[in-house]
Amino acid sequence: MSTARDLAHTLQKRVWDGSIPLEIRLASADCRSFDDSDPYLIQFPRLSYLAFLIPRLHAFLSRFLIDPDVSPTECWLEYQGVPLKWHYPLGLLYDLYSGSEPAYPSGGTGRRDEAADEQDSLPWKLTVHFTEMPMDQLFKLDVDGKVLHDAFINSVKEADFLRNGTAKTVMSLSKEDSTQLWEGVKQFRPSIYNPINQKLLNPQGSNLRHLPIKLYLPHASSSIKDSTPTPGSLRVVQTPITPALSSRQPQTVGTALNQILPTLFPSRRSPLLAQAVLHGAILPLSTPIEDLTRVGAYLDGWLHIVIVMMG
Amino acid sequence: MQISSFPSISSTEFEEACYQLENKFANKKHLQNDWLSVNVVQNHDTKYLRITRVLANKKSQKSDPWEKCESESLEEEEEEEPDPEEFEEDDAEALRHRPSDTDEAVLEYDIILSPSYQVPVLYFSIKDPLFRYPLTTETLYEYIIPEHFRRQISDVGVIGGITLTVSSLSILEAVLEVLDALLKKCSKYSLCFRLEECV
Repeated sequence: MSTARDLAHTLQKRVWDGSIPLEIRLASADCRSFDDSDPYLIQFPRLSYLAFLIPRLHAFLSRFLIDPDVSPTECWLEYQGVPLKWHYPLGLLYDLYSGSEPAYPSGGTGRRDEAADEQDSLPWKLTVHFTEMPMDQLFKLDVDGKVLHDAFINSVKEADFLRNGTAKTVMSLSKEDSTQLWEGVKQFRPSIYNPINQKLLNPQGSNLRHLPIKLYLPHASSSIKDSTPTPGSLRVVQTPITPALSSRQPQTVGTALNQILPTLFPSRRSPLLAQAVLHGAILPLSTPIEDLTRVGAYLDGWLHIVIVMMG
Repeated sequence: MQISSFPSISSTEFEEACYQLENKFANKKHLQNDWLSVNVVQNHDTKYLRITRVLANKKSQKSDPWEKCESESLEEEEEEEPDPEEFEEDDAEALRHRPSDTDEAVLEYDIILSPSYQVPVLYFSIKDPLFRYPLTTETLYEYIIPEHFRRQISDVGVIGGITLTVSSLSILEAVLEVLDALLKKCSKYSLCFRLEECV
């Protein structure tokens, strides 16, 4: 039926169109006029990576820098003291750290007035630094973009392996296709990205084995002794999840979370202790998860879902 | 120890292998002076193996003249005092700081069971109080990967054999070389880390 296909297409477009207004200010320690530099304002796609902003940020702020000759590779971004990882898409970073209330399904009740909450949390105010990069929490980018490309394609490979039991599909991409995929990500153009991504999602002669899902639990304390919790510390949880249950019923968000995090999701149907957030929205536990991966995955093929506690 | 679904390894089998390696090292560590420790680490519900060693300085550190001078003096088997005049132009902070045991950088190998690949994957990280080794590919290839493996690893596939996010080495001989030397007859344990074929 074209209706289901239309719905999928509409959802995919909504996900691609999702963006967050950013207000980026230069750290006073790097600013020759202390805190009097102009803010950099941009509406940036949720699916994209903040690293792509660096050349523009550097050019815009160079006249304010104490050291105007500093390399753009020294640049890093933080939100309230939390360094933002380059290989996390903006949408994931925002869901993790902004503290913004996620959108509830229609008819659901949020804890606060949605309009008031948006006013408080948007634009998302970030700070950019050009010195003292926290090398224990961030990897340094290079001028050619190879480091980010490397991290991205590694994530694509891992997702491919989970889906098919082999990373053959991505490893055997032609150089042209591989380049096109990355160009599609860099330029954020679905017309360039989608044809190659479709090859990855629909390999010939292969059944879907597992679904690429990662769960992020913010502010988890480490169980390692003597460790000092770092700002923005989180726990990433992942378990192979099949598209269907042993009963052949489709796997839902609820059944998957009940399997991966049974303590936080004791019920497969109703959230009791925590909620799952994707692209700024609460995921109903009844959502079929295979369909979700096809319309709601990030550019690396993964569902990066943030777990937030209720109450 | 049997691996029931080679090349995949279950979390139980992986943990057992980690504990056995930990015990083996405890019994044999006096026979070598390269590795500092081998320990099973628990993080929430996950266990993994951490191996540490001192990071050898493979080339002279131009930014650390005291260390360079000391290594040269050892090679020549003469005792030479560093010439303070030689370093007059250097950063005064560096001159006041003398290297000591606490300034040694430590290389950490974390061997973790990948939830995606269901095989062990190897992470490298460097803990250095003086921040001399930035987390870059250059540091990895210059200080960590043995020279005779660099070309093989960098030429593997679209992405190469190593990334900065996940060190899923397609060739693990760099670790096996040392493991085999240490563990001698424990070839069944080297199987645990020879699972690169599936990726």
